[in-house]
Amino acid sequence: MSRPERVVAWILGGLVVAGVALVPVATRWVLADDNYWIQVLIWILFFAYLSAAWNLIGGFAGQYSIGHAGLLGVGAYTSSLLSINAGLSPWLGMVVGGLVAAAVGGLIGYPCFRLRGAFFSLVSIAFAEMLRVGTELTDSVFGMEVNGVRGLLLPVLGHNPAAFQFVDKRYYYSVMLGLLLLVLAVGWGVKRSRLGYYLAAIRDDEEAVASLGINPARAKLAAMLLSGFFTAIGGTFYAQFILFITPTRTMSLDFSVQMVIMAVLGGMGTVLGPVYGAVILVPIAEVTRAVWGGSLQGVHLIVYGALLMAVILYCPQGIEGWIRRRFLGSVRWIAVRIGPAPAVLPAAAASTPTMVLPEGTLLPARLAPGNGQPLLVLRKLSRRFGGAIGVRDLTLEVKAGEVVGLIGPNGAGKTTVFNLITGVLTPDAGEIRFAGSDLTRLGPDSINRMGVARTFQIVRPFVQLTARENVMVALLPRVGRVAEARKEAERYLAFVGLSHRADVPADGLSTGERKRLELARALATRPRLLLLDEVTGGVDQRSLPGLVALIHQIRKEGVTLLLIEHNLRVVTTVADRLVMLHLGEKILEGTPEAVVGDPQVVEIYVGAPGALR
Amino acid sequence: MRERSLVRWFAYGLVGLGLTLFVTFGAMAGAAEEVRIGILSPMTGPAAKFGQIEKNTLTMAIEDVNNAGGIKSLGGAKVRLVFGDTRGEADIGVTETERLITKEKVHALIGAFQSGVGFPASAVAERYQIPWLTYGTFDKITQRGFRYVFRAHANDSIKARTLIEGLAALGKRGTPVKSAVVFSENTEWGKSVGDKQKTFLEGLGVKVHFVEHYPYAAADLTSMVVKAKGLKPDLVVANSYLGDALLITRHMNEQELRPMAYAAGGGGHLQPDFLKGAGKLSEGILVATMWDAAVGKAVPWIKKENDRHVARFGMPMTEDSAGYYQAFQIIVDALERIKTLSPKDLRDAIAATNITDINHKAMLLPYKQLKFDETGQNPNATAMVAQIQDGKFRLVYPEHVAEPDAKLIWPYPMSKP
Amino acid sequence: MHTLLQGAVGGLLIGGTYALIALGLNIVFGTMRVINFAQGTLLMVGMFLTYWLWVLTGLHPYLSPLISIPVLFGFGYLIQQVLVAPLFARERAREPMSVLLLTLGLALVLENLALLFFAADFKTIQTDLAMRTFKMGGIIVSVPRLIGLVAAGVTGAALYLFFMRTDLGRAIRATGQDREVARLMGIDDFRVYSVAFGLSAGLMGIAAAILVPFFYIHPAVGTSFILKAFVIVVLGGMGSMPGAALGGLIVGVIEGVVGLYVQAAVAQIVLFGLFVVILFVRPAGLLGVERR
Repeated sequence: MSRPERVVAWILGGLVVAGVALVPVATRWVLADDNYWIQVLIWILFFAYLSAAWNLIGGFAGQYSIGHAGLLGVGAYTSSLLSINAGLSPWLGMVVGGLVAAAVGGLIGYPCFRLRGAFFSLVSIAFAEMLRVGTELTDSVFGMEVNGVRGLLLPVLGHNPAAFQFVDKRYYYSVMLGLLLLVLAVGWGVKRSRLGYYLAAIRDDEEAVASLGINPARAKLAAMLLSGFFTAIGGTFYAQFILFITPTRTMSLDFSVQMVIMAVLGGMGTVLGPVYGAVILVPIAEVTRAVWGGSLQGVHLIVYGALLMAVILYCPQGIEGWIRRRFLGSVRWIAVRIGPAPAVLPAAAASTPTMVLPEGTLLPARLAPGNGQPLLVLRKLSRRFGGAIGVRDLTLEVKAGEVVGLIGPNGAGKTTVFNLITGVLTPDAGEIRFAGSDLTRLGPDSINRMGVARTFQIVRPFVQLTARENVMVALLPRVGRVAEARKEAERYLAFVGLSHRADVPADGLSTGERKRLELARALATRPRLLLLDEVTGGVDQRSLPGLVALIHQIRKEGVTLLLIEHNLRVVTTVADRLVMLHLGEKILEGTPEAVVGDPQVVEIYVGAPGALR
Repeated sequence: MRERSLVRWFAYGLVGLGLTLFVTFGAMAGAAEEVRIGILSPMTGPAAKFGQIEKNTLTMAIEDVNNAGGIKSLGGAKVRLVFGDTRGEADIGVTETERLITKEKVHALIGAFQSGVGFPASAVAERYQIPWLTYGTFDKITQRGFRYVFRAHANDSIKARTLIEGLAALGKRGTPVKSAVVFSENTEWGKSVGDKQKTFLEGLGVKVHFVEHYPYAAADLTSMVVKAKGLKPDLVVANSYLGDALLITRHMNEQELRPMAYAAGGGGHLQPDFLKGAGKLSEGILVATMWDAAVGKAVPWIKKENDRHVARFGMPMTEDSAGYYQAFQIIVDALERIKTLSPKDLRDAIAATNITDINHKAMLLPYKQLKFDETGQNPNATAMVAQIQDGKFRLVYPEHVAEPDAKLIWPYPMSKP
Repeated sequence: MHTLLQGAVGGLLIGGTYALIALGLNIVFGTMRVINFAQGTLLMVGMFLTYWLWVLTGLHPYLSPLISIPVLFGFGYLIQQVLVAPLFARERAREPMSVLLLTLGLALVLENLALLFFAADFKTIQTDLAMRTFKMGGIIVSVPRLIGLVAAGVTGAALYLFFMRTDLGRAIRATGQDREVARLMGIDDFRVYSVAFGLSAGLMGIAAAILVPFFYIHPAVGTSFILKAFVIVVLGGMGSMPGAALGGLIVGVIEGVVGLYVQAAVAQIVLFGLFVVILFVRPAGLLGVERR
């Protein structure tokens, strides 16, 4: 965005916020004392707020919690109990409730983060239901009356700002608006921070994130703590607004589901999406109730459900993108008319000259290459899957500076070996040592931080991020500052020859380009050992020489390589040594010529499709 | 470009909804001077069918008033009902109450069927100083020092006491019960009623083995019934919504839990669907209620009123629709005694209600006297006990409303193997 | 002791019905690795179908599967083709989480449509079998629930054979294990998914036939069962038919015994607790197989 455009955007955005903030004043003139409309607006803000709080973990990190109402209830009950029993102002109780809920969310969430998508959702429901039923059955706790299923009535204090109670709805409106702006600001900040990049990457592919030396659980925990904190504050607001809370309502599945639906409709993982979702859905509920009230039952829920399905099917990114494009369009329109003429961009913007890097300068020197010391040692490694053997008694050594090829037919256990080295799988027996340290029980992220990087058999770029952002994610654990990572990413993209595609979402790259991107991403973690899993698989013949050249170049950077290759012609040209696996066991090892010429290899490969091409 | 067309549809939809809204409210704004009474009840959600019957009964009542020339003291002002749908949720009930008061400018309110909704919603009415006539039995609704909240009918305590005293009185005609178990759904109503019944039972020297608050809409409750069977209680009391009431009744039969008396605090056991679902198992069940069409046997005008209702809607009035009817008639009675429509005058007139004539329309739920104490509760409100006999509810207690020709089934027939 | 046995038997019997519902959920779970939130709603549809068949034609609920299974199969097949398949086509490599949200929307629509058409009434039907019981060593056995238990056993066994012995069954299993490989081997994965979804919906016809004689019919009836079915599937093992059957019985018995000695509401907490514990201690479930 150009400068005048940015100014216009800020002014427009500011006008919208100011307009919304002035509603209480405006209603006094326009609508006389119309509290109902204020009430509806408060619900819109309230659901936008809750949904935005959910979005911090649900949308940003793709962890679809369907149990956030449990946290809402924790907030509502904590502040209410504290204010009734200890006279603590809900303004403070709100913070306490937020902290308690963050703790609860963190304690429940952390162990659950290793559960895959759907299971996480189910567990979140299970915990919320346990909380609900538990509260329903609790009559008192530490001598404080909880009143179980009958619910808790807050004393009515009239207009008492210190106690978070107002007679005039406009105050509630202003408070809720302030809270909403706060949670949106937090979302905006997170989105632009290191954490934001991690979360976006996690949403796309968690395993790939771990392979870049990032601990996904920790990033998700951070998001969960924030999300829990703000959700609970919403609970306090609810309690102070209605002045009557029951576990059956505050912790209901219904609330949890609504938070999700609004974020999905508006645009999951975007900062403003939840607001759009609430702006559309809450009025629908209000209008159907006011217009069709008694005659048609549950119409608005049918509309909710249908909209949810339609959005998921036809507009999976939600409507946020559409609104943003419209907004930017008008910004540009205005900027062109009022601002100075924009500098004409060079027409060749798309073909930025490719940066040429002098050989051996990509990676900071970590170890003198080719000193011949064993870098990676596998000793008697075994791993079974149920009854099937993955790898058996594998012993293997890779020396620093060496390029070793791992070959064998499908199902020989090659990828399993990679998964064992990188900590995706733990071995049943045996030992893995890297540069003298034991890797055997470490997690994927720690192993990467020690200097082992990998690519995947089926490429796994973060499809919703651009090429540049993909590399940035890998750089961030080492670089720290987002701006610095952005600059630094340029060098890695240049190295693999993708500079001209830096701002294309990975989704839009060709297979060959994705392979290169994955190489850049792996290299950005500054590895000493790089594991390449079929880097040439699925790549068309014309791109092949380029990739092979790239492998040679990586080697010249001082990186030790272990690669799985189906294409024997490629592997014999790049590897110093080949290791042949069959049914999980090493059956042969030696120079490429010796291995390829061995009758056993020929026998195993005969009939195997695509072999000995 | 599918995304674009979808968004366009969103836009069309929103514009359409906005227009509907505009037209609806625009039309309302243009209406003539009238008395508006807001009705809060669950029009959608799990309890929607109750809201529907309440609406029917009230429609009949208001047509009578308007056809007879409206409110005479106010120059023949017509009365209009404005409905608010609570969906059975407290927060929505609050929003709707707010809407009815500020947007529709109602002069009085009746609500809200579920006590859990009426409880916070009536606080809104109090805040705006608009008279609120309660339908809902939660004791505390009228125990908060509010000035604008009234209840003419029985609360949970009165209902529980009536049921238990009724059981004691009826038991004297057969064999009195000495021990009991209580099954109560885990909702605010079930919790509040179950605990009160226990207190009253123990007050009469009946041993209460346990009160279990089972999860609402359970898939299976066999083990709760088996547990009760092991204790061989003389009395089983159930406070359940319809589905659970059916389930418990069938479980009791299967598991041969055969108490001498099977009583219910109201709720699902009072529904016509229960009679259909439970069939012959329902025979002999005693249910606490605040009203039944059988009251007409003792009070002729009630029979006439109910017959009209049956003719028009194909079903008799129900406990709750009768309660709404009564609340409406109390407001009408008060309106006839004021000159201006100020909320304070109306409130004072309601507070000054004093009806003893059994033929007054506000006596659809007949009491010795209808007046409010300083909390807004009618201290003379009573409940009744009905027994299911031949698939019909027959009033058997207290004696002044009991049907003269009703026999008593005691013990519960299913108690015989 | 006698009471304990009676409680356990009671739980075991209703556990058969739970197992039937869980079997349906598990077919989709095991094959497509997605959660069908609308499973409970499909059960509701099946129950209304059974009910109306009985009211309009007098067809005994136990015979209604003859009609309701094909109808529900078609319905499920269609849902997969029209609604779910596009999501799979879009997110080829992975297990689309959006399916969960989609089925959530579907459940909302179906449940409230039922509310619109059939109102919030509780419907019941009276059959001669509904309340029949017999005693075995003093333990009371409810006949309709026993029939449910037997039906669950038979259905489970039939499904097991279907998955192990028939080509289509093997194709479904193969797709469940590795969709990419199955496709390479020439299996039309989308057709397999549609069949699996249809099968899963069709099973709700059986579950409905079992439930209708002794339960009630209501638009929200699915919610009483759906969360339990999730617990069962995870407990028994994703994709394992014997696991779902066993899981159903275990859940029934736990519910029965905890309900007996503590109370039914606590049994809910215990079940969800068990669900969480299983996910951590043995994520593959009791009879499930660990995946590569």
